[in-house]
Formats: sequence, C-alpha cells, structure tokens
Amino acid sequence: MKSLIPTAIFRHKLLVISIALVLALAVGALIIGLQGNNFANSMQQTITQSKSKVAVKLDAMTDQLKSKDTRNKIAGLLAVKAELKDSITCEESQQWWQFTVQYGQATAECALHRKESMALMKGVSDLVDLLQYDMDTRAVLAPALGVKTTEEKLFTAHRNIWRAARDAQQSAKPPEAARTVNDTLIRDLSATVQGWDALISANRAHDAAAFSKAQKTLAKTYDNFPVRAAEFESSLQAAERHLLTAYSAFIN
Amino acid sequence: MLLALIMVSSVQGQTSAVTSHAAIDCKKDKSLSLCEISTTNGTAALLRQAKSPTIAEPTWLAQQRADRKIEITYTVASRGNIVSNLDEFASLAQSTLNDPRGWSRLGATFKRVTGAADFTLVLATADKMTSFSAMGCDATYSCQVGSFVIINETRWLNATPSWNKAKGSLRDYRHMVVNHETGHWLGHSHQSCRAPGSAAPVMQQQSIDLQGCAFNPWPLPFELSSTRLGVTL
Repeated sequence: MKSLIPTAIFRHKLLVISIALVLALAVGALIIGLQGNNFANSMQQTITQSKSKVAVKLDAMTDQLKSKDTRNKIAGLLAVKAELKDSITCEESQQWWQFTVQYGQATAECALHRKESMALMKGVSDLVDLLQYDMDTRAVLAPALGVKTTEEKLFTAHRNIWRAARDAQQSAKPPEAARTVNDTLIRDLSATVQGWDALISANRAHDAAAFSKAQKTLAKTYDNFPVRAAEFESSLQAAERHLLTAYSAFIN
Repeated sequence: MLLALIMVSSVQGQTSAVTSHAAIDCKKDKSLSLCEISTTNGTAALLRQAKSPTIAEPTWLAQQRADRKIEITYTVASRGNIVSNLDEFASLAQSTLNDPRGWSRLGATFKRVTGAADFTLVLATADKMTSFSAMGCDATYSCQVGSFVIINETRWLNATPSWNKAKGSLRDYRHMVVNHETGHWLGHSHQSCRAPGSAAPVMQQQSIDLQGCAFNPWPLPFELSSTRLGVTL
C-alpha cells in the first residue's frame, strides 16, 4: 500500500504536466496560426489594394486611352505603367510564422500577383512601343502621301520626299512586333522611289512610251500602301489583345 | 493535431494561389478603357488613303501629241436593204470619228475616201450581219471583223433596250456605237464599268448592260491608245 501512493502521485503529476504541455502547444499553435493568418490577410489586402489602384488609374485614364490622338494614348498607358511599378512588391517575412500553411499560400499568391503585374507591365510597354513607332512612321510618311497632284517641275522634289521617307524608315528602330511590317514598308518605299526615278528619267529623255510605262508602274507602287495599312492595324490589335489578356489575369 | 489546429485557425486567411479569370470581352463592353486602344488615327489611317498623285502631262508630251499626225482613211458602204439614209449615216459617222472628244485625241484624222482605205464602215441590215462572220457577228448587235466596222441598222435606228431604259439619247447611242466598233478596229478589246456611277468606258458593252455606270459615247483618257496605230498612253 505504502509503495502505491508515491506512484499515484507521480502519475497524477505526469498527467497534469502532459495536459499542460499539450495545452501550451495548442495555444502556441493557435497563436502561430493566427499570426500566419494575419500575415496572409495583410498580404491579401495589399494585393487587392494594388489591383484596385491600377483599376482606378485605368478608369482615370479612360479619356486619354480612348482618344484618337496617339500621344494621349501613350501618356495614359505610361501613367498606368507607373502605377503598376509601385504595385508589384510583396512584403516578405522572416518571422516565426513563416512555416505556416497560410504564409506559404500568401507568398505563392504574391508571387503570382508579381508575375501577373510584370506580364501586364510588359503588355503596356509593348503597346506603348508600338504606338510610338506607329506615330513616328505616320510623321515620316505624311509628307510623301500628302502629294495629290504634281507637275513636271516637281517630279524631283517629290522623289526626294519619298527617298527621305525610305531613309528614315531604314534607320528606324521598330519594336519586335513591327519589325516585319517595317521591312515590308521599306521595300514598298524603295519601289516608289524607283518608280519616281523611272518617271524622272523618261521625262528627261522625252520618251513618251517610257513615260507612260513609268506612270503606270509608279501608280501600282501606291497600291501597296493600303495593304500595309491592314498589317499596321493588325499588329496593334495583337498588342491590344495581349494587353487585355494580361489585364484579365491581373485583375481577377 | 497541431497541424489540424493551424489549419482550423487559418480558415479565414486561406487564400488560393490558383485563380481562374474570365477574359475581357471588348465586344460586350467597348467602354472598358483598354478596349479599342489600338484604334488610332495613325499610320494605318494614312496608308489606307494612299493614292497615286495625278501627274500633269509634261509640256513636251503634250507637244508630241499635238504634233502627231496620223491619217486614217475609210470608206462608207451598206449591206442589205437598209431603210436609213446612208448619207446621213456617213455624215454622223464622220463627225463622230473626228470629234475632239473622240479617237481624234490619239492625234488621228479620219478621212473618208472612195477607193482603197484602211477600213470600211458598213451600215448593214440585221439579217446580213452574220455574212461578215458567223462567229464574230450576230443579228442583234454591231461588230467589227478585219477591216470592216459594221453597224447593225436595227441598233442604229432604235439603240438598245438597256440604253433606252437608262434614258440615253439616240444620237449619243450612234456616237457610242461608231466609237465602240472603231475602237475594236484600233485594237481595243472590251472593258468593264470601273466604278458604279462613273462614266462607262466606250469599250464597255454599253449596248448590253451599263453595269451601274453612266452611259458615255466617248473614249475615256485611259482608253486613249491604239495598238494598231502604235500609240501608247
């Protein structure tokens, strides 16, 4: 009987200690979980705010983005890009809750948000580059295509305008998406310059047959440009589609 | 158990890294700021309007054209029992051929002769049309075969239903049919209406269908050439 009492007391103590230990561990786990939860909530809030800021900026820029003036569009897109630049950092934590499931999920979400932000920023940049190239190209071509009528004494002057346009496009640095259309445009411009050269030669030689032929050839070179218009348009549309896809991924 | 507790406590904070998203449909909502951003008044708009400039004829070319003297001789004849006045026919044909709006713009003068000539202008009854060529001519319309420019008398007197429907005058039809058949002799083949509402090329088969063009008895500037005469545009 004597020997049983200490054993019972010992068992009792062991039980109490065990329960206390389990409770302590449970409370600890609960605290860690709650901290992780807080962190996840905070990060989620940051991401939501970031999305919201970009959406608000886009709304604010609607007039500029819908403007027919390319400069306005570019300005609007650059403003959105600036907003995006600020939105892609995610706070990382070295705290003791970093091993929680919540932390893992939150950081994964943040990484995805960063990736989507980067994709959206690239989409914006690509479209800005393309719009800038489009605007520059228009400025180069406008004087040449503005000629509606011409006479003998102006043939050389007009040929020189086309030559200047061709040289300008040759030295242009188009974005990747416009490289092919730029190469084709240069070929078209060269053909028109050659057409003018032939007309000038026939005119100097007073050769009626050669003049007539050169006139027809020159007229045909102008037929290439409306075809090129569609290519310019489709490269811009493709960039817009990419941007919309990136934005859909970003905002949802 | 610990893990279970952590999981349980994190129900509120659970987030999913994998999200599905619906694509923006600009067709449904064009007002979205990123929609139609590629629609600009840029290079495409400019290129679409590109058109070859109108080149004024150089002075030396105009001079060459004015200096060109080509004389074309023709005789007038009839075939079949025509009821029309042949002198009247010849007179109108002469004025048509040498009209400043007509083939004379090639630098050519059409001279009516009685002996050997470059071509023969014939006014023929409908039943005699195929006597010139069973394949190239028919009883309904006029035609040109070799050195014969043949005007179908029925058409000369009545024009065609299509022409009359378009309210073209008989005089204009006569100008047109002489110019059209002479145009074949000059080396032209048929043309089509280039743009609805515009003047029909004289080499269009206006007797059959105006194709939306306005009737026109005279050659258009782009028709002013002749392989037979060696005259280019």
